[in-house]
Amino acid sequence: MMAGPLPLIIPPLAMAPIVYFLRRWPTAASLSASVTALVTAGLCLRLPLDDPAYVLGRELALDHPSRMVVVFILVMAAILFLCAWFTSRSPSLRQAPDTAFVPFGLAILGLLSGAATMRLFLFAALLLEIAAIVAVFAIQGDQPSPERVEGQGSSRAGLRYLVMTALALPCFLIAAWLFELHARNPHNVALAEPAVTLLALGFAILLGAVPFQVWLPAMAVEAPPMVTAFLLGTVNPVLLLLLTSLFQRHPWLIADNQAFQLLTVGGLLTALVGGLLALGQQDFGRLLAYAALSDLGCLLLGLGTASIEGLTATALQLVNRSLALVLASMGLAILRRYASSDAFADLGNVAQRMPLVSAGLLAGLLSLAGFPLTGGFASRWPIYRLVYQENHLYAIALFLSGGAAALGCWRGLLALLRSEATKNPVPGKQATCCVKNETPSTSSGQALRSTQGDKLGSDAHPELEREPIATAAVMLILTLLCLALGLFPQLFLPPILKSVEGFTFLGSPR
Amino acid sequence: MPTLSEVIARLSFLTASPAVAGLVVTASLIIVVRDWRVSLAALLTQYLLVGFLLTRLITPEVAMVKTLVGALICLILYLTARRVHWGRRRSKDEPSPLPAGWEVFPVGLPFRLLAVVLTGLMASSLLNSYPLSEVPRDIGFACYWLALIGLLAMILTAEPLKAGLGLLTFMAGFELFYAALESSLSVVGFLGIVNLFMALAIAYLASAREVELVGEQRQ
Repeated sequence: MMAGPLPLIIPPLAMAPIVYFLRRWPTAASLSASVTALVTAGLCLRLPLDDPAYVLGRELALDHPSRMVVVFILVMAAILFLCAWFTSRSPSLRQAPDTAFVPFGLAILGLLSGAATMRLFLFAALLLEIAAIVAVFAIQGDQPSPERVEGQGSSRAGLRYLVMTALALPCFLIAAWLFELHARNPHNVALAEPAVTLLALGFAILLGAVPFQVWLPAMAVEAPPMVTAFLLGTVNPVLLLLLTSLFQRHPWLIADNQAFQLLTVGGLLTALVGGLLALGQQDFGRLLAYAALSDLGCLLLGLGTASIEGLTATALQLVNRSLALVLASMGLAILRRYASSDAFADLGNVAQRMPLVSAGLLAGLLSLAGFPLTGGFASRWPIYRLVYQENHLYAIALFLSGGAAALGCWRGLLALLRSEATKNPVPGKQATCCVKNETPSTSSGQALRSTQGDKLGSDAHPELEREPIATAAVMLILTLLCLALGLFPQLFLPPILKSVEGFTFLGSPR
Repeated sequence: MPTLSEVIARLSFLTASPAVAGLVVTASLIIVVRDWRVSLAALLTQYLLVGFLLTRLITPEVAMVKTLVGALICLILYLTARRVHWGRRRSKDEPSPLPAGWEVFPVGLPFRLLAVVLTGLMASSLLNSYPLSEVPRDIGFACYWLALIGLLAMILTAEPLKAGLGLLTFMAGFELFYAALESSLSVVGFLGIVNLFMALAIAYLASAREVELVGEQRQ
């Protein structure tokens, strides 16, 4: 019997319940999940998995692009599981680490591998939906204790994600039905417009593109940062793989270029809104969400150029984006854990006490904004050039959106460098406080924020004064990698070029 | 003992307009009434009525499986609502940060009634403008009605159980339409799994929300 891609799907799914029961021991849970993801990635690279497998009569097959995407998300997940372990190591024993993400992350990996290898789009969409529902448990994390403080653990982010992803499912299922109709009657060109519209709606909702981005900032604020990085870093590559595979298998969808026009307009809108909103944020959680949104717009514009060069730049951008997300999320997680807040108003003195974490956080965010010398710029530059060839104004708008996001990071840097925490934060602004079971009992939110804002500056917790060496070392390595990708972007080009050459529906830039 | 086909034949009067009228009532109850027992009873009845309508589009056995999945979902939500004491009126010793009833719906009864009426008009208008040619006209109205009421519930509340009822209502409306397009058993099975997972996620979020409210009260 041919196993096909099943060895990529079964191990993560089988290990998920085991890791769930290991949650009380975060080291064991994170390490076993990480090893599972890495071993599965190794199997994907080493085993001859080219033969298709059939489950319930549906074909699962692994071509070169899907193999590369599956390996990428598995390696990315392995890194994130390790980072989750690093960031969950508590400065005090009173804090219980939130490790729900690890087992649910493994289950999501198995489902995403299934979606990436499923030939029939209908079932790929159903697997994606199940993965999205499982993600709700990871977003919500462990049940919050009654003593927890405002911010993390709220059900709002999970509910928004559940609702939005559920709305994408009907779009995909009806689009899949239209594909079947077209297969029966290939000359019916009238089916292209509704199919493209439904696909655009479904993918925009799942990617969190404007105007369906409502779940993104809620998740960045309320979910553990590693979950945000995991979902953006693993789901988005699979979604973009499915989209390009659909264009490859159904060329009638792109016959009139409407799909690429939608990608261009949607991408531009997403980049502009993301950049402008990033500029005005007052905390690192939302800044991360909107910088990622601006970056997503750039990705969509890269795809919208409908060229091999554009797809190559987009794939490179996906790699850089994922690394930037890991870096920024790890910095954010450490900041929330040790400084008790990620609001600009509460972060005085942090840069002096946690220089490597602060530098890593900013490097990740600047890479998402496409700032020069970071990995994000190296992959954004070819997209700027391709978009400039099509429309000068679009390219300028894209550049400005990156600039606006970078300015938002600049404001974050100033907040980190300030010598004291602001005693009176912006009225109405909720600090994102995340230390569980450590909150002083107070009825005043402002007093609560001030107390926590002073934490790093006071001598109340002398053990929190400096960043832990191991965590700082990991941040340093990731920061150097991010900068190295900015200087040597060709490192990842050979596998990317090999993956995109199979997409024959693409030509030279329009 | 009568077979399933005989039972359905006896209840055939329920597979036409009375079922659609029942759906109008049950879906309205989900929006109008705050009490969780009434809302869950309305959802269960809604799944039964959708099951009756489905017998006109797919085989009775598959329609019954879908109804059973709906009943399981209601059981999950019932157990959750009982456990978290959903929508209970909090005592004076246990003050809520929100006005009475606002944890479920932050808008008043007149607004919700008006919204339901407008939703009905919108469903009727959509049916005239974009008729669903794959299903009979009355079922087309039921599809639009359920989907729109589901969306309305999701818009009106951020409370996981109530918004979850809206989400499940939306999915019921969509599946009623989709059953006419795709009758594959594997798709039916996958959609059942999706619905059950959704119910579990809603139950988990509702439990978390209750702990959140308790935390807010203590502060």
